[in-house]
Amino acid sequence: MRTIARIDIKNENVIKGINLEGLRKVGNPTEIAKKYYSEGIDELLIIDSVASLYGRNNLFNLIKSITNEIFVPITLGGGIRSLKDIENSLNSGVDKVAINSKALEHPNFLKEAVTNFGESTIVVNIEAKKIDDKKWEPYKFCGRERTNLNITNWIKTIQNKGCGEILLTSIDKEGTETGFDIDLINEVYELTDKPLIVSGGCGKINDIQIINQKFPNVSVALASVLHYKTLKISEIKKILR
Amino acid sequence: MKKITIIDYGMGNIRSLYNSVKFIGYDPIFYSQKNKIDSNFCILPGVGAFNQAMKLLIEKKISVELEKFIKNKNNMLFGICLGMQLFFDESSENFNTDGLGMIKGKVKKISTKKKDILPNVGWFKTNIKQTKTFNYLSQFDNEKFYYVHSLVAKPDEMTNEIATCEFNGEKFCAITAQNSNIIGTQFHPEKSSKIGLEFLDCLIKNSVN
Repeated sequence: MRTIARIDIKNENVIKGINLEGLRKVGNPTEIAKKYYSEGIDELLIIDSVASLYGRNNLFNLIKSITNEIFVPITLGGGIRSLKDIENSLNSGVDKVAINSKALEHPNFLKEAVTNFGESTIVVNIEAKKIDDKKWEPYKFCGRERTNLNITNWIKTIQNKGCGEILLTSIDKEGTETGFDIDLINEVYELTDKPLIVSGGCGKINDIQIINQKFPNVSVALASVLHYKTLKISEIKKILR
Repeated sequence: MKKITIIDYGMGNIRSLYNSVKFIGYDPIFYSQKNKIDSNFCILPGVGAFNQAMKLLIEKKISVELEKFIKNKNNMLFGICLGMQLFFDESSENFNTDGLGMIKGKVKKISTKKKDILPNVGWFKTNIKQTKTFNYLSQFDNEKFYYVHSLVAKPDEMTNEIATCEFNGEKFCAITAQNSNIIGTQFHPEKSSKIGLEFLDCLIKNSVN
C-alpha cells in the first residue's frame, strides 16, 4: 500500500474543507510538501480545488518550486482540460495528472491522453456522492455539479477508455475523519483492474489498517490526519510494514 | 561540473529526471537530434509505448547515435523504465516491435492473468546480485524503489540480469546490464526519494572518470 499525501490548493494556500466545502487555510504548499517528503511520504497528490470551476491553470510556478526539490511521484489535478494542460503539467515537473470534469464531459479525452502520454501518466479522479442505498454519482467541479451518471457505468467507461490509476474520493466522507466509505470502495474495487487510491474520511490509524486488510493493493490519500498532525507518516509506515 | 546527457525524444516526463540529476550536483543537458552526445554518461528515459518510442528514436536518428556512443568503452548508457526495455531485441507491447538490440532478450507483459492489477505501481524491495562489474551497487540490495510498469524485460542470458524484484510471487528483471557500459533499471531512481538519488549518484560516480 502506498501512503499518499493529498494537498488541496486554493489561491496558493493549502486548504482543507469538509465534504469538499467550507475551506480552511492550512499553510504554505511548498513548505507542507517538503515536510511530508522529508518524513518519508510515498507520493504527493496536489489538487487545485478551484481550477476546474474557473478554467484557471496558474499553479505551474508553485508546482515548479515543489518539484525542484522533491523526488517522489507527484500527481497534479484540477483544471486539466486539454493535451496542452497535460504537457504543461509534465513540463512543470509532475509525473501524472488527475482528470475529473473533462473526462466526464468528454470520455474520449481519456483515450487521447493515454495515447499521447502513456497510461501510467493518467489518473482518473472520481468524486463520488451517495444518492441512494449502494448507489453513488460521480460529481464534476470538485463536488459542485451533478452528472446524473452512476459509478458502475462510469467505471465501465473508464475501463474502456483507459487510464493508469483511479483516485476515488468520497464527498460524503471527505474531511469528516469518520473512516473511509467501505461500501463505495468495495463497489469500485470489484469493478476495476486498475490500481486504486482511496481518499476521504481517514481519521485514525485503524482506518488505514482496515483498508490494508480488506483491499490488498489499494492505496490511501491522506489530508486532514496529516495537516492536523493526528497521524505521523512514520507511524503509518510502521503498521504497513 | 560533470555533464550528464538526457535523451529528449518526446517520450514522457524528463523534467523530473533533469531536476534530480541537477539536485545531486551534476550538469544535465538535453539531447535531441540537433546536437551531439558530448558527455560520457547518457540517460535514456521513457514513459509510454515501446513502438512509439522506437519510431521516434529511428526518425530522429538517435538510435544510430546511441550505437556509436556505446562503442566507446569509457561511456555509460543508462536506461530507465521504458528506456531500459528499449535495449532489448523486441517487445510485444501493442504489437511486435524491434528494439535497439543491444541486449539479447524480449519485453513482455508482466502478467496475463485477468485478476492482476496493472500497471504494477508502488515501492518494491529490489534484490541486487553480486557482480564483479557492478559490485558498487550491492549496497542497494533489499532497498525499496518506485516502479510503474506493465511490461518486463526478459534477458536471454542470466548474466544480463543483475537485480530482481517480485510481482505476485514471480521474479522479474529489475536491473539489466551488458558489459560494463550499458545498464538499465525497471524502477525510477529519480522518483525513489533519497535512496533513488543515492543510487543515481553512485552509478554516475562509479561509471565515468
